[in-house]
Amino acid sequence: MGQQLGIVAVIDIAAAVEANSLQNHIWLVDNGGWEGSTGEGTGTLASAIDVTDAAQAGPPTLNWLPIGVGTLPITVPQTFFLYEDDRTTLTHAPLPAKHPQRFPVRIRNVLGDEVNIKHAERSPTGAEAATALSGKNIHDPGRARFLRGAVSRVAQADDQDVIYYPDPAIYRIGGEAVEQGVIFPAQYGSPELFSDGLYWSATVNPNIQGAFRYTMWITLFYSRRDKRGVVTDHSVTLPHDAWLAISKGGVRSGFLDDTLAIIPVV
Amino acid sequence: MPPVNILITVDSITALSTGALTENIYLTDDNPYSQDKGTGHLKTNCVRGQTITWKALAVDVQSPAVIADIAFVDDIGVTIESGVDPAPERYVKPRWLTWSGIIPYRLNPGIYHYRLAIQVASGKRSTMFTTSPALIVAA
Repeated sequence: MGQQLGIVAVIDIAAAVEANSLQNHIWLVDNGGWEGSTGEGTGTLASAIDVTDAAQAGPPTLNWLPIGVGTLPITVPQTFFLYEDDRTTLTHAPLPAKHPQRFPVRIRNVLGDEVNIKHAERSPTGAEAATALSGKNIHDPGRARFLRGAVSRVAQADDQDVIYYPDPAIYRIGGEAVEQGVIFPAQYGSPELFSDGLYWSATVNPNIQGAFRYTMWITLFYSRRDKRGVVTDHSVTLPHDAWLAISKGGVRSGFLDDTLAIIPVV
Repeated sequence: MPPVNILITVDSITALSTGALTENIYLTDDNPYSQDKGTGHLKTNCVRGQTITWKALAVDVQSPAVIADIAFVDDIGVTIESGVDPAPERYVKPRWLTWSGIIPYRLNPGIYHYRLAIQVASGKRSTMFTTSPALIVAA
């Protein structure tokens, strides 16, 4: 198997949604520092890939992992999902009170509407139920789930609240490197729950060397609650560029001979 | 005469943590007469003129391990040891190397231990060695 390169994209989702740009709100890191990757921890990552051993080991594989700054750890204890006691606990005040903004939102993402944090569900009635959103799950999820008060670009006049969901998702990977056949990205399924079991991965073509740009299209999610209390879900898909620097060295024998060597046994 | 392939499986993370390859490295080969397969002290059975190929594989695919060096040690009173290589900077970038060679035709039959150096990522403590594996050259 070829080298597995992980490319982690950490995103400040609220800031990126408000700025309508990932610029300055995304930080990229990979595990290719050994090969000479540059820009680690910044928004301009150039991942170095050495394909010298691709003929023996197979082509390298890239794996993109988008993470929100506010995302709970990927390895959340299983008790989180399994035990009724925990769910009951979560419906009481202490946890949301400690983490009024992030925590309830995250619970809702994980468990859907099975956990109601503070308030009972309220079904829209009358004029609300007749909106275009009828039948699209517009139950009021309760006030505690909302980030309140801040001035927001995406909020409309009289909106009560806007929240930003902490899990980003890669929508597409394209750009020069894909168009020129340098990488072959695709979305794959896995049992991993926190990205709905989907992740992006690509195989690197070991026959092409050079520096190539690629574009990640990353979708960020947020919700608005308007003046009538109706919740609508929104998303914005933003592009961000990164680079691959693919190089190749000459294969030669470790026994310091360019032909099949006699092993230097003492 | 078919070549002998030696596969070195490395638990990179534990090796880095403990600073030694002992118990963190598993060698095997495709010669049915070799001894201690699946351990760190594989004794590969081979004959003079036979081609031997070494290849390393990391258990954790995200922490690739490569062979930095294979050097035969004087087998008179060899001590089996493992630890962090004292001077890893003397090796060239090991990813570019293949490790394959022929057993010398005039070699005396016997057991020949070799010093195997494995590198995981880079840095002062990235390269670890062991002297436990060996070749047994048959008469």
